[in-house]
Amino acid sequence: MANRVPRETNIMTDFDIIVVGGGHAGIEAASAAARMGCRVALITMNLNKIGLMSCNPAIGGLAKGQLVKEIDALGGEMGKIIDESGIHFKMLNKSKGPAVWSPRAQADRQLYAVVAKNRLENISNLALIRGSVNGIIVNSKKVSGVTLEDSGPIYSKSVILTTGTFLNGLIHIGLKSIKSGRAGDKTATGITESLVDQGFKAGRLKTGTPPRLDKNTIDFAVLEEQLPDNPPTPFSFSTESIENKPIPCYIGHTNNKTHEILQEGFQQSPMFTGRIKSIGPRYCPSIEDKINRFSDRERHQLFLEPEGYENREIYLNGFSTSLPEDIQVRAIKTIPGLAKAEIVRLGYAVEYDFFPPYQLFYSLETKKIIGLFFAGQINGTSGYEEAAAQGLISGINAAAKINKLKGFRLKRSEAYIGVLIDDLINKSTLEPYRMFTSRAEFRLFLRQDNADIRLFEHAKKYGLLLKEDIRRVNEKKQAVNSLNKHVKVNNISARKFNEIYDEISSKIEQPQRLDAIIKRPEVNLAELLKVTQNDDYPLDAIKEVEYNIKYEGYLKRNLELINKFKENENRIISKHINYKAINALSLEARDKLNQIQPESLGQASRISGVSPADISVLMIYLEREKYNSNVPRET
Amino acid sequence: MIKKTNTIVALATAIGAGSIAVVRVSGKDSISIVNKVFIGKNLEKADGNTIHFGRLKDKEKEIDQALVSVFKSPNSYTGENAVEISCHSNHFIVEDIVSVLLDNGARIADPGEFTLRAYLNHKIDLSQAEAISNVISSKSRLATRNSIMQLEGSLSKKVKSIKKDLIDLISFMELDLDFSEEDLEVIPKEEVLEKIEASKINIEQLLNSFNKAKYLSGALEIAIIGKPNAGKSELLNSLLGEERAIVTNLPGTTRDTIEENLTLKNMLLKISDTAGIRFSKNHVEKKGIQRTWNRVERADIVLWIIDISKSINEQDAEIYNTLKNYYNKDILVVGNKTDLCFKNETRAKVNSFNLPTINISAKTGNGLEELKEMIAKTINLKYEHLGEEIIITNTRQIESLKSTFRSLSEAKISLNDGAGNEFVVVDLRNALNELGLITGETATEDILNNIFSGFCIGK
Repeated sequence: MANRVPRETNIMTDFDIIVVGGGHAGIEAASAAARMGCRVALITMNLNKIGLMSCNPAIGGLAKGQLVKEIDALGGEMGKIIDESGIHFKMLNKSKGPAVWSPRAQADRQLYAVVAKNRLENISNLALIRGSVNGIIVNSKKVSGVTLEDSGPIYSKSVILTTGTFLNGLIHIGLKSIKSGRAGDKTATGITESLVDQGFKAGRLKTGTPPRLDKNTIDFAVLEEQLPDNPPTPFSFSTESIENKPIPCYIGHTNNKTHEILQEGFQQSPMFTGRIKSIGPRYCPSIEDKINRFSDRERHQLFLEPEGYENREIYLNGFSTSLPEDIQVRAIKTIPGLAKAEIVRLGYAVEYDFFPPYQLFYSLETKKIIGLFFAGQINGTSGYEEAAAQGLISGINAAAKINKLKGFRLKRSEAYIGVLIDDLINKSTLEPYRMFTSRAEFRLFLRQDNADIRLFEHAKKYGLLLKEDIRRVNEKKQAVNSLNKHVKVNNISARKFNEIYDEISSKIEQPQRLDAIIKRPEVNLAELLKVTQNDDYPLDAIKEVEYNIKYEGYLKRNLELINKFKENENRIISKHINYKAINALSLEARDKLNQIQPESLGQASRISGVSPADISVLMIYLEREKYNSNVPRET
Repeated sequence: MIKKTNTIVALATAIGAGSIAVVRVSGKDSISIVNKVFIGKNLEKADGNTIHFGRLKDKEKEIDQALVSVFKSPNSYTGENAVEISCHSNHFIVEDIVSVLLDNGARIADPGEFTLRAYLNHKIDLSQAEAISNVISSKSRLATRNSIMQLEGSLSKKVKSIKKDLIDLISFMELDLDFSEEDLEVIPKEEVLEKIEASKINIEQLLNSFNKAKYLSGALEIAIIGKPNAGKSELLNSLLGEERAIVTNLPGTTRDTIEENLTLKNMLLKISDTAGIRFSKNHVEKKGIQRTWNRVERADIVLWIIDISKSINEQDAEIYNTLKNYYNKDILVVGNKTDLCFKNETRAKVNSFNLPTINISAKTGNGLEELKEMIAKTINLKYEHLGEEIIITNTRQIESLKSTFRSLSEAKISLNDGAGNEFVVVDLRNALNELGLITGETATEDILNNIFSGFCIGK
């Protein structure tokens, strides 16, 4: 990639695809589409804020880490950027089974943005343009470009909107409110209005961020130090090792005194006084919400996370707030270790526009306007990883459309990304959507360490991988196959086994086949291979084989569910249906089905408000239609 | 749970209608499944359109003699391989036959599924199929009606409470997976085991109650009404065969309504004893009487008890008028206390109300059997056309409960094997989904909502 030269940018150039926004969704959308050969323009208000982490300076976390690995397996950027800019890596849930392990890393915030921009600049058919988009150009229900605030229109075949919190963004600190999409930045007006004119339904959500503290005013000695993993596990399957020097995080706690001061500010809280009416994420509540709802808790845990090597800012994770400045300042000083702490940036809440995602196809293209795609917070999600995943899918699909390829869709049984988009489209969530492992009914199969194998065929088909990626995954797959055979035909002798597992596992009398003996929880395949002198298998292949054998019984039960799920997914509804005319359906089902126009019977069954009886009726209707005619799909 | 095969089974005739019942089996494996439980000719070698006499067995136990008709695809009603079993029309026999077929790999047919299959296999035309849509939708309305009644009933209450326990438990376990970074307490394994065991016991109790009362799903209600001291509680007790309501000869003892499940002629009914009706100024009693009329409103059948050792007075006439003018119910007039009448010379002329009437003594049990017959007959007349629907709903509930029970057992085994929460939760969620089939709800959002509302989450 290094030998590619950035393309000269010319405002009047026609592009295949315009990506509006340079956040985590925009980065993936632009780079995926460009990798697939399209001429792409990424337009953002400030070229130096590409990939800026507006909130928490961290990537990954429970369930989110899986998303990043999947993005990486599909050739995305996020894993590679964090591997280059991370300063504190940790594998979460390590004490539990591999299905719920999740990587997480703190980033050097500035470095992350620099790496992100550099990577985009090195993609040859991608232009980075500074500008503020204030309208979408639509001709007869088809998108044809965007208009810029300070210059003329730019034309393209597709437009991907990744606007984050910028659409009519309004920041609240106490009872003060400022029109802004992110502290220190402008807001984006005009886009929502032009889409509402086109018939889109818009809504409003809220999110918040904690204050940043000056590193030099904190007494770290009284705080609990939290060390990263050593050695760190990279996010990207292509990263050999992490080069950055690790630095620790710190844990602190609020106390009753803190709570008292915060309570003083309740009457000036934009949340409690009703100034903010939009809904925020319940899993990321403000500190005032926590002490209000859980008043019996005497303290709340806080994480002090450095924002970088050079950066003096410390992110006070767990202290998201929109209370007035003086309350924030006083409350923080009651926390042990923070008596002299200075706030560099205040915590705040921000309200922004979103478009309820039932208005999208699985490709993330809007149903109303051909060629217009939405990704990220504009769809009501929260989190960099959720945004990046959608950015990637929208980018791939926008490019697939131009390249005349079939749309790209991941199933719930294949990837967290599949769960994410399926949930968005079919469940009308009222709060910012965040991924959890519990949302993935097939999570036992959706491990972070097998994302490369899981998604390989898709990635290859759409040309998302570099040659060396393809070679690497092929090697891993071959190693897994060969090891799978190996454990089925090779034994370990009783003597060798009893020697290594003396006292840990019950003794064996006869030689045992490897695939039988590793079913014992305490037995480790890597170790057995070592003593039987077969240690040339790579560790990731060993883990893959071991997991599938060790947990075979449980996996089988989950697999039965997957098969049942697939049965209904394969019952395709291939044409537009006027559900209002099917009287045997319940009223609610008629409305919801008409709105969403599901692509399969399986999808129909997941729409909230559609009952099993409705599905039977629908099945009969579809069979009759199939029998009656061969009418092509109207959409 | 997973559909075992695609072979379906259901009772094809109405309950209580005629002396022969027909159980229909359809699907690729129908002949081999029936053959497994059939003593007689090897049905797998039988030709299509042939009838065979033999016996049906559940393991070693013989269930009934039966005539078995074998149909081969495409020459059957559904167009698939099919078997029709004609047996004696006894609820227990039919239930045993259906369940032994389920145990051998068939599954309960969905409403209208035989007809649906007939349509899909081009055995019937489109206008008929159009009609099925409507049948299904009206059946689902009926099911809704049933479930609304059950929502207030003890079955649904119990299932909901088991569901809630499971959601709470899963929430605790998911909390440990999805929010392990938070400052939260982890639920100890012993407690999880205890909770699973408690739910298993609850389900077992439900299953047992179903085994006792095989058919009607407890959706039908009977209200016993009458003047104070007419013997309402006494009648309830003798029907139930146990001392349940407080019986005294002090009028107005039952101030509230008392509700019980009653097994009557193989039907599970809900029966309620109500406060006696009289025009009273006593506030508590007035409230009780209002509840009595609310009961009447909900009931399918009203048992109006009259003390026939006494003469009919204005209050009886008042009750009659109210029932007649305000409530459109099946009413049985029960003349009670024959034991106090000499040679059946009753004072009250209960026949004069022009309603079905029977005289009994709740105290001695005299006439009680006849009363039961009469109730059963009334129900059968009223609900005959629902026969198939009700048995299916019911059997499906049993199947769901059995699957729930199995999944809970698997969860327990997983836990004892030292499996992590992510594995145990697979079984628990299966259990929850099965229960959801009974109450008609799904659960993923429930779990997250539960977590968000119950725990202080979020860094």
